[in-house]
Amino acid sequence: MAKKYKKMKLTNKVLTIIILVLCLSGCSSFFDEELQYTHEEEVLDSGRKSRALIDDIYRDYSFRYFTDFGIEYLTDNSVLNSSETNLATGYWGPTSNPLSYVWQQSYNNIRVVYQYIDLVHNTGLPYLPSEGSADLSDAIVQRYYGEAHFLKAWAEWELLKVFGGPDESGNMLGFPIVDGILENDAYATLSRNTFDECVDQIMADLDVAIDNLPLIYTGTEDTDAGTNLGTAAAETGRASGLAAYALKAKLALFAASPAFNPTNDLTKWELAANLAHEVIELNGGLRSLQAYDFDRENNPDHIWRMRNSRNDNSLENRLYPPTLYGQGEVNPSQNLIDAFPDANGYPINNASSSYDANEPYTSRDARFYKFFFYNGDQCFTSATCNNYDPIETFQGGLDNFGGFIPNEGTRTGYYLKKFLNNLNFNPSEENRVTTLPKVYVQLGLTDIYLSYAEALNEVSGPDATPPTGFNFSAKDVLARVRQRASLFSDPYLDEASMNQSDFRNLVKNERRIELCFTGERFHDLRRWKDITNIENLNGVKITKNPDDSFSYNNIEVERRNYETKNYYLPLPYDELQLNKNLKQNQGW
Amino acid sequence: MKLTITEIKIFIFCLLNMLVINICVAQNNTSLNALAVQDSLPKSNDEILTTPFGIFNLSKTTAPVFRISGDVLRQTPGDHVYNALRGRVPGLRVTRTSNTPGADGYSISLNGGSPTVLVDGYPVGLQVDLREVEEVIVFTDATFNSILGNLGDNGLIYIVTKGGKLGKPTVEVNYHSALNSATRLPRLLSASEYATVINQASNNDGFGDIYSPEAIAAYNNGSDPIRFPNVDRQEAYLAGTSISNYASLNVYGGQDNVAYSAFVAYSDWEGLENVDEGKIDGRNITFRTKINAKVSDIIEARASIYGKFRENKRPVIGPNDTFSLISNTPANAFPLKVGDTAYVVNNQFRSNLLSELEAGGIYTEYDAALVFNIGIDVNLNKYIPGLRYSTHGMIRTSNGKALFTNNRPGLYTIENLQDSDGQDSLALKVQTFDALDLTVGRSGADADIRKTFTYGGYLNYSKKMNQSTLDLNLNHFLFYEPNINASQPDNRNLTFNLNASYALKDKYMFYANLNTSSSSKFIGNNRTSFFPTAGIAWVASNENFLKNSKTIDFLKFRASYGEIGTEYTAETFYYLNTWSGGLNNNTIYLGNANTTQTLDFGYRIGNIANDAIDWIVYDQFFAGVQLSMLKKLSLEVNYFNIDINNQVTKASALFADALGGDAFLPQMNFTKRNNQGFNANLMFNDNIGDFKYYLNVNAGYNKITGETIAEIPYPDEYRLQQGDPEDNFIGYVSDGLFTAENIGSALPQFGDVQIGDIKYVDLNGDNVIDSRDRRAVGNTTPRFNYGVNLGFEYKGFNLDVVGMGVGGYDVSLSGRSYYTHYGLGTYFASVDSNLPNGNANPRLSTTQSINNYVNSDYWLVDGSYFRISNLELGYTLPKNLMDKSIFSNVKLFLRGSNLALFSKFDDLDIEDLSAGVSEYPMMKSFVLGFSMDF
Repeated sequence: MAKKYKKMKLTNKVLTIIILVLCLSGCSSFFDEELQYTHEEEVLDSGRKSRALIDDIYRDYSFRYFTDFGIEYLTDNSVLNSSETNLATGYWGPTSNPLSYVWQQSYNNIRVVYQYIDLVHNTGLPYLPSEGSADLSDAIVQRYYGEAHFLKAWAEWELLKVFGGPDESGNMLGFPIVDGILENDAYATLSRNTFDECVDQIMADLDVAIDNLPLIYTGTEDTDAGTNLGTAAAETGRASGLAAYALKAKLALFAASPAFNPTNDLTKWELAANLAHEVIELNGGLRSLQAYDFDRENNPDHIWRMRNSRNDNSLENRLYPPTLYGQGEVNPSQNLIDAFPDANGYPINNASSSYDANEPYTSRDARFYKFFFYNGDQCFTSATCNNYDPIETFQGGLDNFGGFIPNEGTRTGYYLKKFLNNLNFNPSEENRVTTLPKVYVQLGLTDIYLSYAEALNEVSGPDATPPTGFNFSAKDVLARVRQRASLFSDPYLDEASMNQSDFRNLVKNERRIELCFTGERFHDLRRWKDITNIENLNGVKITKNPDDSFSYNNIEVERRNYETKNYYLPLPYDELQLNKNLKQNQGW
Repeated sequence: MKLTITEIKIFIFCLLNMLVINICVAQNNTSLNALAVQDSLPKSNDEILTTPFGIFNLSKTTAPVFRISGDVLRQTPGDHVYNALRGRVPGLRVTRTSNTPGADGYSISLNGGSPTVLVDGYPVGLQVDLREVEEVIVFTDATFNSILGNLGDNGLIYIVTKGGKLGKPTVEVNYHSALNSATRLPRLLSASEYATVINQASNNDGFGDIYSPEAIAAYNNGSDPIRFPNVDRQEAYLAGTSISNYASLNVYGGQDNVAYSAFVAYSDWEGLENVDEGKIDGRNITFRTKINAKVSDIIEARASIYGKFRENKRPVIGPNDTFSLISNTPANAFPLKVGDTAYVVNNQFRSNLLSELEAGGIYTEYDAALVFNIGIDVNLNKYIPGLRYSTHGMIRTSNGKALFTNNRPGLYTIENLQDSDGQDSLALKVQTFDALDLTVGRSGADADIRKTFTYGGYLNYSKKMNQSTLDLNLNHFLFYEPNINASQPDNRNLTFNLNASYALKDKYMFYANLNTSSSSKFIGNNRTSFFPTAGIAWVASNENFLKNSKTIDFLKFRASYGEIGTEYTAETFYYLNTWSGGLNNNTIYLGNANTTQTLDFGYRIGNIANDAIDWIVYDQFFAGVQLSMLKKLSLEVNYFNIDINNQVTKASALFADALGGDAFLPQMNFTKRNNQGFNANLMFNDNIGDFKYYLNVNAGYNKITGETIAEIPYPDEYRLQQGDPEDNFIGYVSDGLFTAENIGSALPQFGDVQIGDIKYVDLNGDNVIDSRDRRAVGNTTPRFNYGVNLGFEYKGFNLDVVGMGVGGYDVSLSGRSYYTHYGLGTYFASVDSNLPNGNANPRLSTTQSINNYVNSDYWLVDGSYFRISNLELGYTLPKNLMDKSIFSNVKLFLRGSNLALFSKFDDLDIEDLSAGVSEYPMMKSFVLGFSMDF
């Protein structure tokens, strides 16, 4: 009994100890778990990691071909092969804006920029801690400050492009300018600044960017010699000074356009021409454009571009026609095909044109062969080579519904080839990896040339001697664009340069061709107030005749139906419910 | 009523701690004996439940308690407790979510919430086999829920396993074998039917015929099975039936201070695939041993081990892929094989199931779960009559690993070529080269081992006085579940309870519990909170005016109210500022051809700290009545009203998007929901001579409403959901299909509409259809579930039938490939019939219509169903025969499960609409077996 008693006592003691340990010491430490999350200090106190706030913003603008194609379906340029584009064919209401994501995304990025400036830049945190690296560190800190302002300006530009427009009473408005971090509640009380205030704001941000950024990224960094510190070619893809100049030019053109310049204030056109002129001069004068090459990473014409992983073949898989084992996702319209001139530069409906409706794909502008897969096409660049078996988009052909891949076909008779340079892998192999890089151009020299031609034509017409301060005429610059399409002898350009209106139409058409599938046309149509005039979207029905010739008949694929309110886009409906200070654009 | 003053909290917390400690320390203080009064042993008609968190007298409780014996549950085929509970517990809805043989495919809902399963009182999940179940007790109200703290938010399913008690040794043997077949399989199209539908869709869009009349004829007459195949894929791949076996042995008993039990069970199963190499084939073994030993008059020690080991062999492609491939590959896509070796595919349908099943390789899964329990009971009766102390610890581990060889058979496409004479001939073109996996792959790392630890104990004091009884429990319970993802928080909880039950004259019963819960998910003052519970009951039948009633045998009214605090589930602590990194890892590339770098260290804010983040509190009110009449009829009805307060959300709908991403908003306690409903159980049993029969009907109803929710203040009243059921299905109101008569007056809706597209109602009258014309058009969670059990017993024969049903909800067919027909891909035979709700199929088209597939009531179908879930026809050998043998109880039985189903769906099983289409089908089983005790 005594033994048992002792045992029990021991047990009790153990129990007591367990409880004591558990409850007194345990309770406090048991709940303090060292979780492997990223602490705030880890990011904000690190010279390198803290800069990653800015790096992270690039992600939103990185590789947006597929977003661009979505916008392209809203125009007369193309359709998606698997679904109709309901907003383009019928009613477009204030609750359905495919671009409304721009609102939150842009404000998010503006906020991150201020987060960076407040929490990192203003603390004076160096990029590299060691004294010896101070020069390099300072250069990089300055560059990030410039990048921050450029990215803020870019977010603001997107806001202005998508949401700018007149309110009910006709005041031309932009977006609510936010220049700092507000309390979360305060964002529901913002009101829109005027369009001009917004333009000024973006210009001012870009000026700060220009002051802090290298004009271009070039050379290799040499820390010993102190050259190219933080500005070497290896940094290409970051915001640059030239990119900031280019954005200023693009912004000015947008602001001068009919939809946003109702009084046709010529000084706005002049500013646009001036700013484009500045870019051209900073780029070394009126140079020829580089050949089309969508896998070239060091193309100097790509003023700001992002590039993709080299082992990414999603573009090929989604764009190639069925016999190249693609999904043929983007189907360019007959309307767009018809916008390409003949091989001599004449519009196909021009009396001097060599176009033959029975042989629609022979003797066309070089860009046509570069941009589209068409019936009988076998090549990536011209009409006369042999990279693959002829594409069969005729009825019953292998590249149409019920063909090689039965559920895949084209609604218009065409597939998109632009951005795909070469068949550098065999799609029928199992492992269809391509090593071609792909660049996504945000700001390009072609765009600037076309902007210059458009703006200067409005200021002083196409072919006059350039006004004071301008070194090239609108025609000179447009000629460079057409020369890239091998139109060196260009009688039609001469013809169209006879008067302002013909030249304007030619520039618009060139813009449509050159910038197709980059997401530009939808906004161009809006700013020109042309969106209400676009035609229904056509395709071609190709019939193979018993003698192996083809007959071509245009068919209507989708209606296009826009109202004048579509010059502008609606602000996010939900945001308007929360923020009664926001004014909706006219017509929505 | 939660106390928020820190000092008081700390004071009470310490007080509780000190009480536990002091009482432990003071156990040997004999002077306490002076306090001992009278006999503390309960009377024999009391229902005592000894749990790891205290000892409770269920006959004197203020809580609704539903009990069902293991023997009744075992009238169900198989080894799964959830399956056995179907249709038997009021308010408990058991739904099959997956039917893969050998997989756990059930979800359960008790009064609309997800209950915690306790096995012998431990929160180990459903680590229990049906054949070892002594009893299942369902606790629904705060009386018991509050004791479990964080785990008690939605009720408890308390499973008691056999053994561990003194008594004569018993051996139970059980064996049964089941023949399983699919309840429903989707109807597939033949090759010619498929080709016809495709032509129709293509012609609707003006693309002309895709299949020529000659091809369709060839599909029909089977003249050229290589070029014009017509493969019935269900027939090609599926056997009609599969077999599974279940055997178990259970030994338990005890004498001389030692009680023991040993249980071992075996189950096996196989798949429906008719290709031997690729047939699912698995088995598991479950065991549990328990031992309780009296070390001294005072100390009793106990230990138990539970283990479950599972092995499952399957083809490398998963079981659901098997059914997806069967369903989605049209009959005319390709012949399975050309010659003996060449597996064929085409460019649209690039997988050949036969190749995968025959030669794709085997994937063998090994899963193990182990639960260890030890405990010590200290009986302090000697010193303080009625005082007991018990402490226990539990470790549970489980993990899964798999070994596999992933072979890839060669696949070929058939090409039509012209030979030199201009004759058509066929050629095979390689689509995929074959690849043999020469190494054995392995999945599952050591870090994936899941573990749960609990440590708990209680001090119980029971005292019986002249007129009354008092039961006190003071317990602590620690729950620790390390997260296997390093970047996520663990579950770390500590709970203390002090509760008292007091019963006066067996008429008036009172209960109170004070719970303190602590969790690592909160910080500062919020880390520990107090949650009180109180209950009251009145047994009217013990009052004088009813005592001698001939009609009323028992009548009890009761009510309880309690607060239960639970923590949030999240990937981070909401009280911390955390950053997330690497969002743009390897997605952004800088530099040019020769000089590249990736921006691989992007960072952005992940969580904004909210120090004030606090407990989610369930205010549970239950009231009920229990009535027994005429010795035949008993009825129990419980009403409940549960407020779920302070649910955590970012409430981003209340903030402007201009503030940026959601990441800039902290999580906060905001949402309030209310769950109201009732459950009821009616039992009638009687006998006519030897013929004994019974009928039981049980039912549960509940509706959860969003009382305070974050939503955008839409001007259209009908869009607002605050105060409405939270399972509302928001969509457009349809008005049939467009016809030639009304297409002219079509309002602008979603793009161009044509005849045969769905027409919608313009709710706000602005002559356009857009998102402002959406409203609640249905609800998606069953409001109502019920069970019907009936049976009889006569001269050793018994028949028991269980039916279960749900009602009061809608199922949307939009997004279900079996009912939505478009494109040039897969079609099912349902394309030729109306939808289950009687609506016609909209216009066929090669492209996916945006208009037709927006959420609308056009696609909603009443999801109610009733099924005969289980049936047993048994024969128990007469007792007198048994007396002479060593057997004490021998029973032969024939059972069936899922024998009949009544719903609006003719083709598919409504309980799981993916079953048979993209998942294993629901199974119907016929079972033959016996059980014997000796």
